[in-house]
Amino acid sequence: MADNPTTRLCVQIIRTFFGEACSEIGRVLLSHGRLLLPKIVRLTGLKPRTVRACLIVLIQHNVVWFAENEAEDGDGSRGDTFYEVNVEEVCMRLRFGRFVEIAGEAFGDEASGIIKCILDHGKLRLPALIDLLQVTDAKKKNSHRSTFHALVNSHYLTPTSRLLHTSPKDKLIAWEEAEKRKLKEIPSAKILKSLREEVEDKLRREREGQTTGLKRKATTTSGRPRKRARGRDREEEDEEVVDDDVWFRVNYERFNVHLRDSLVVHGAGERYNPSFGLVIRALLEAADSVPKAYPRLSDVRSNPVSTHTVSTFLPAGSGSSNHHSNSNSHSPALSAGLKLPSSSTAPTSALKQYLLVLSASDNPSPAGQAGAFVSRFAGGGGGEGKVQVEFETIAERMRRRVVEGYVRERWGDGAGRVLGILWGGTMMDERQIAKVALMQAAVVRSALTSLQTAGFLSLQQVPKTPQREPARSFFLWFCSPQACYTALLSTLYGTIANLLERLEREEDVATREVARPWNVARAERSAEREGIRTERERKRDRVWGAVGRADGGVLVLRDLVSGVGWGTGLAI
Amino acid sequence: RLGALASDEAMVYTHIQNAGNEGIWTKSLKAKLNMHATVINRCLKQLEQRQLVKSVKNVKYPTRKTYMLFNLKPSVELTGGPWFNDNELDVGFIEGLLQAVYTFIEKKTFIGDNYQVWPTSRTDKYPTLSDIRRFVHTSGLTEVKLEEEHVKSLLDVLVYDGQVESLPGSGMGGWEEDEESEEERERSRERRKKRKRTYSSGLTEVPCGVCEVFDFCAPKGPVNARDCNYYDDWLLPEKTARGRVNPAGKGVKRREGAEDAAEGEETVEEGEGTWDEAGEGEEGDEGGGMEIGYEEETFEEYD
Repeated sequence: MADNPTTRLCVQIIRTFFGEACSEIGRVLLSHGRLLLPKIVRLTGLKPRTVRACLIVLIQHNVVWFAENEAEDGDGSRGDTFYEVNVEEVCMRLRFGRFVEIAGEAFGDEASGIIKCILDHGKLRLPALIDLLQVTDAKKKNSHRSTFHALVNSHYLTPTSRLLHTSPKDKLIAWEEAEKRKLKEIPSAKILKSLREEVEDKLRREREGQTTGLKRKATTTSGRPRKRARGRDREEEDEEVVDDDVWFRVNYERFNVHLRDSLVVHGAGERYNPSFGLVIRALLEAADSVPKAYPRLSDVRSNPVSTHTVSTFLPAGSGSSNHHSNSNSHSPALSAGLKLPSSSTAPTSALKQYLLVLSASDNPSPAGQAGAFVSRFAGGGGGEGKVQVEFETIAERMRRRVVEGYVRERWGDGAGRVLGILWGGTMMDERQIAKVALMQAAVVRSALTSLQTAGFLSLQQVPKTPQREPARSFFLWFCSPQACYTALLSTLYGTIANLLERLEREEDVATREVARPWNVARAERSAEREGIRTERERKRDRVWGAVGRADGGVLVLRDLVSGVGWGTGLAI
Repeated sequence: RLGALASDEAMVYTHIQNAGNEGIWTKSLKAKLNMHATVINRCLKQLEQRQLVKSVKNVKYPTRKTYMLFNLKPSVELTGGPWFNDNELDVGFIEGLLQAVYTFIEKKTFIGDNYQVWPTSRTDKYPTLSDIRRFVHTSGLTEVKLEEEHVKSLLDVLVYDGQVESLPGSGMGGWEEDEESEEERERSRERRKKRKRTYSSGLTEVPCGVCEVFDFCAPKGPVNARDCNYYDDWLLPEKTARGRVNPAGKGVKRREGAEDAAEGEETVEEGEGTWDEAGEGEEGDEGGGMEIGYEEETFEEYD
């Protein structure tokens, strides 16, 4: 892995969060792959003690994987430990602030405190957490425990295990090879892909299913655990309690699901009007409230919910207004969004109308369905029809819009139009494009070349003569969406790395400024001190705000369903 | 009139006459008649003098010389149709039309301040191709009569821009208003506007997003993020106002004063022209970031 944007970004993030020494180790590990301890010492030039301490810190924070060398061949002898960087973990650190905020919104201030603490320490056990939070009051202790329990139940926190500290790549390769050997004939690309997905699933299940982190509460005096009443789940929460000996870490995927949901809501609001955003939000909340629901980022669509359930999640005013006079039977927000035939219809039918629009039921063509938010909705009688939110479709559209937005801002609307025409694999030559787009040939040509240098478009030469002369061939332009996504993703990585680097410099300069003798004297005056401090904060806010927005782009491109994914980074 | 022509001139004339509305290219004329170029040119000149043929510009192949009978109008293929004005694509005209059509569709899609949308049962409320065409004619934006295919190509452009989407029509309503021959119309297509605001990736507000030397920028290189000019402008607008900032490489003498510093900087940036110069400017300042910081301080002190 040469100095590509991903590596640079990871190194930068490690430096921002862990300091210079750790970032050197990170850099070495990312450039050279897995390494043994003596090798790391030699390549970084740091003292062995420092390296050891840094590695311990990085492992505690799940940034570094380690693996024992099983085989006889290879660099080290049996029993040596190799270290490797976990790229996903590093990149997720950019979102930690948002995770804390989400936890606060979902479960309250205690939860955000808990999450923040665990994020600060990498992984924690419950008693240690309570100590760190300095919770002494018994009542508060209990409420913390129950919040913790809730977080574990809804998969915001997962138990960690020895397995999660090893790189999944070894097992992945080994299992994949085993599966391939089972095949009789030469596999096609599709079969290989499905094989790979199967193996990944298996691996993921193994890594996650280690333990739930909960245990039964021993209540009887003899110490035997109380048998659960057969067929009746009475007071299930009392039965299971968080195991005090299990270490927990934050489950990033669950939080990313929140980010995804808010993106979907925002998208619906932008596309039509804010009322649609409300409807989608109700739909998503209803889907999440299904018991035992474990929403994942890789879900192609959400759980199915019936219209009736959705209507219970709509904002207040939609249900209760049934009792008032029927001049306005649905909430003002809901009626504002759709021009309904009469105002005295029941709330659920208004909702059905919304869902019809969201599912693009008036446009069954492929282009129309690609613009749908929700699955096909037949509008079944009495609110019986079930709907699901189509994450994959939405993700595809969002990715396209990110790319188009970037192209338009960078190279102008002309380039944006050209990209729109070629999107999805249509191949055209320059003349055709100019004709369809109603643009001048020169403009089209410059747009095409800029897009090509940036990696968004490619050329296909179709010769007219057997000699294949370039002068006598057609050059067809085409766009592969995947190529666009990867190109934009590396640009985003590079930008975030630049931002963080610049922030480092600004912090250095600011610290130096504050320390200067004349500034110290001046800073006695509180007004000046305020000025310097707010200046620093303003810059910090600006940079981190930009990082957050760029990271939002990264989320859309990489993390959503069928996005670019992690490649060799592997998020399992 | 014809009788006065010489034999080869007559042959040339006949061929041109056969080409009719489309006209004929000199090269193809040469190939057909198998005559020498000079002979043909002489004939053509004579025919032109007698005002029997004329040369027209072909918009698809602007470098070719195309000839046709004098009294004929060139076909639409040659002139390019309504989009072309003097063989040049009239971009302003097109853009104006696009904007007008889009606004028309927008008004029909979103009602009121709340951007209300029609439910799916009322797709007939959205404008059809013929509605839009009628709108364009009555709006008086142009005297040129636009055919359906022209309006359709306008709408296609809007679809590629992601501004509108087309819905399959309800059939009935469209037919009644239809005045054209039935075999030309497959189905009335309706257009609905998608209020697609571009989804900003957060990339372009940052200088890196639009930086031309982004690929060249590397941590220890001549162009890097720590000393980046554009970051200076982006991060320190207030500092420029106070005249403290000293953008890398531009020299200390630019500390004229509040507004001047900011403006002076920008004009010099634009005056740079090529990116090589900007790169060199930053190159000269390599490693100077911190030092200039020092200089800043000393100047400030003796303010």
